[in-house]
Amino acid sequence: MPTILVVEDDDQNRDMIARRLEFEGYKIVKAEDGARAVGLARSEIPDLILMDMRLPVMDGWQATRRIKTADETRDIPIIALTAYAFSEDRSKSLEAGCDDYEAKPIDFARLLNKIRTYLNQ
Amino acid sequence: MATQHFFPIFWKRIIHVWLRDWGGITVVGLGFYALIFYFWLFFEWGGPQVTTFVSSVAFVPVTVILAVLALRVVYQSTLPQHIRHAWLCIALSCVVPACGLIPLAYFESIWGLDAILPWVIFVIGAPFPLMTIGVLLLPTKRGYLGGLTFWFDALTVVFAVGLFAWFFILQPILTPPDKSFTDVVLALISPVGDILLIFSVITVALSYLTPSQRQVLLWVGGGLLLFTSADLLFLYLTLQDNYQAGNPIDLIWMVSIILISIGAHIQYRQTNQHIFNANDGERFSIGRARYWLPYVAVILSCGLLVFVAFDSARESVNDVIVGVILITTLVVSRQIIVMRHNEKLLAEKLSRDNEARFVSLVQNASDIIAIVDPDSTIRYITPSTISTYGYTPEELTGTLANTLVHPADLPKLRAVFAAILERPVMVEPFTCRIRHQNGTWLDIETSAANLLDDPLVQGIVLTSRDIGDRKAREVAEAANKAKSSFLSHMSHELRTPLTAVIGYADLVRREADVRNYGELLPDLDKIRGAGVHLMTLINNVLDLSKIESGRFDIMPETFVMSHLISDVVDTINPLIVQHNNTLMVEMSDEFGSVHIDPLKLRQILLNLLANATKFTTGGIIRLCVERIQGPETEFVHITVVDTGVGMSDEQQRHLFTPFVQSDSARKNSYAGTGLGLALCKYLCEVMGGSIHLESEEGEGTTVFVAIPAYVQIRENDDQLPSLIHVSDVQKELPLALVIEEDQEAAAFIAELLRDESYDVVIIPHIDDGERLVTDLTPRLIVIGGVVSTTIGEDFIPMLRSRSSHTELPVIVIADQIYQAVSGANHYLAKPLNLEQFQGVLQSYRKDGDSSILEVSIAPVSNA
Repeated sequence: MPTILVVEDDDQNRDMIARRLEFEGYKIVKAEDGARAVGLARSEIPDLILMDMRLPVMDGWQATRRIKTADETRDIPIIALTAYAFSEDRSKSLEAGCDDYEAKPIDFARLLNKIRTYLNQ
Repeated sequence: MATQHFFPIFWKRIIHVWLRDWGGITVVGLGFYALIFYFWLFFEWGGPQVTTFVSSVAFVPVTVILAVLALRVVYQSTLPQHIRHAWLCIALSCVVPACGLIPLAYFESIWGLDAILPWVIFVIGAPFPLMTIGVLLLPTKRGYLGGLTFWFDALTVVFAVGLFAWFFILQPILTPPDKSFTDVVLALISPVGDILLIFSVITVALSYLTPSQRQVLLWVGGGLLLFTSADLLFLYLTLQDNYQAGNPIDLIWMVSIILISIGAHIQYRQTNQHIFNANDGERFSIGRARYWLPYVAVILSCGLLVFVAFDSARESVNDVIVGVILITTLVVSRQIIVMRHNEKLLAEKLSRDNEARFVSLVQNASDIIAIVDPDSTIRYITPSTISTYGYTPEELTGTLANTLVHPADLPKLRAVFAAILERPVMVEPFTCRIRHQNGTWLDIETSAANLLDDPLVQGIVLTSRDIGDRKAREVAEAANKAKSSFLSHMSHELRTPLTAVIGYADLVRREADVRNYGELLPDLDKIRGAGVHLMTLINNVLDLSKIESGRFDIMPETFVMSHLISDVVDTINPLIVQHNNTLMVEMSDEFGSVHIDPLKLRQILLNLLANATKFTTGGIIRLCVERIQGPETEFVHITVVDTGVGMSDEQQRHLFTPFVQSDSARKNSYAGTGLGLALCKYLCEVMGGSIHLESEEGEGTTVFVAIPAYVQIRENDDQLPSLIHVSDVQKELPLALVIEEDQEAAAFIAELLRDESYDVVIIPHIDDGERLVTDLTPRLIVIGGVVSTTIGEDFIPMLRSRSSHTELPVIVIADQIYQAVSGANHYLAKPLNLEQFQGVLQSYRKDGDSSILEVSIAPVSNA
């Protein structure tokens, strides 16, 4: 099954999203900040990344930019998880190189649809 | 008592009422009278004897009428005293000959001319000085130059007239030696009196006149000039023995008297203010006669000289030469004086205009300009204090500026004064609080300039303005920023736990479903439902506050409408089912894609459908989506129809107001904040659409929404085409890790690194350093003054121990004590030497990281 990197700083939410996706049968790698995400993206080469944008150490936008500019990781699709109310979060994430975004709170049905699309399932 | 006052009152009434109203008509009547007189003379009706008689008595009524009209002016109480005196003189000058001539003619026949000669001289001569005094009394302002050029001009003209009178009349009269004394006196009375009259008229004409008096004098002076010229002509003709009774000269005399009568009538109609309210601007608009009369005098006297020179019969060439030289000298002198004076006047006027301009500039400036003494006493302050401080300039002048300043700001003010007194330049603007007249404090920005040495100012000039608005705006902007930042955090902080609540509920529900814990499902659904509801409420509140703070952006995207609709239906379906409703969607299969903000549209649809199902039980809800081509643009029309409880007109009225739910909704405790429809309205409008609602109580509700199918973003929004990959044109930047706990220092170092094309990650502590080096594989590490911890001491040796990081450049920027840390490639002392640091960075750029430049910059294909 495909590997998904879940980047989320809130422990509960990270765990929840991970378990929810594991439930669907995906292999999950978890990162709690942007730097970790960049490292894991390079070492694990996941099939898809779910990236929260507001993160400590290195935020989601910078991490996305790094992942999307590095040769070995630039082809990994990234779905940004953005706060709903702030459209600048959305536009910033697309600008940074995210392939798509999903507003929080996560609507899992929609999210799964998107994941499947990007993974060509 | 009544009889005592009867006669004066009676006569006053006659004069006041009858003459006042009929004065003008009387004058016109005089004109007809003159016309008849002329015809009488012309046709010699009744023979030459009758004509002679008529011509001698015809003057009596005319003179009497003039006297009456002049007296009428004397009785006009609204006129100034001296005008009335002037007209009294004129009236008397008419009365004396009118009353005196006939008795004199009678007594002359009894006693002979010599016996009554003094009386004859009085009757014939008195009118001339009386009339002269009268004319001179007519109000005139003094001519400019203190009357000097006026006297020059008057004398020029009078001398010229005198020259002619001398040459043509006086000289012939005086020359024959056989004349008796009586003859000479009688012959001289008229010409001398005439010259006197001409003098008075010219004098008044040349002097500066008020507009109304100019009009009066035009008639009076014209009449008198006509009179005197007729007089002189008569004398001349008599001397030539050419005069006959019935000559038109009689008519000229009469007309001249009529002209004076008209002057009297006009004078009567003047009022007080007309005469004296001539404004100062007219000081320079002097009657034109003033300019040309002296020159006419010169030209005429020169003409006379030429005439005399060619007429060899005359012997008085010398007299005329003397006269002409005198007149010319007068005119030339006068001209020199005028020229010099005009220059002075012009200079005065220019400086006055300049001054007026600057005064107007200062007085109308919105800033407050004050001149104060070194002890802060206000010497002058502009009227803008009224609008700014509420005080008039008069109230503030003479007071100490200190007294208005907030006590806490006094030291600052003293410092400014001390500074400004030392060096005479403008000091930086300073702000202080000034007390308004109503007791409030204003924020005033003031700049001061020391002009104590300037002889015209001799004070300190303070220029102040109220910056309260600016300050308020700054505060408001800061508050708005704080609000935005608060919202941003709220949004994240509230949602994060809620996402967990909803997510776990979802998760557990699925697990329960799979593991056959069916009895748990309803409760788990309730947890999830409550979580979703709470999330909606938070979103609505946040959206509304965002709209209110003006930070609500729309982000249109192109998407397939049917996807969104099915997504919405999936989401709302549990709620529909819960209320036993049926949802019917009407939408064409070929609807295609639209360019709308999908999240906002989704929110509108969810809100409307949730409302519809909330107020309907066991009914049908229809969602109808159509494309309608409008006149300019294509619209998406969305109609949501329910068969629920509906609303009355009264309830509908407040529907789109935030926090107002219809009463029925409250009564039946329907869930919701009452924000839904208000938010929908905002969302529609922000996308250029509209929303309206039709409802009938008990029948159900229909909501119509229209949104442009291709939403245009307002110009000031960032134009961001959706799904742009900036990485298309970017290559991976080398990363620099900055470990520095002082945020400002870190930001400064980061800035320098970015200038050298590094991507920068800042961490305050070294604790995470090792992990980050692993994850991020930085090309450079900059360590600030944070290496004192044990981890810090071990950090560099640890890096060096790893095979992959042996070459990793490490720059330590530290105080001297930490220089002992071993293993770093460079030690830079604090404070950081900019050039040194940049030099170090560039050295790495050149050799160590050449591989970076080889990184492929092939564009990433769009996913």
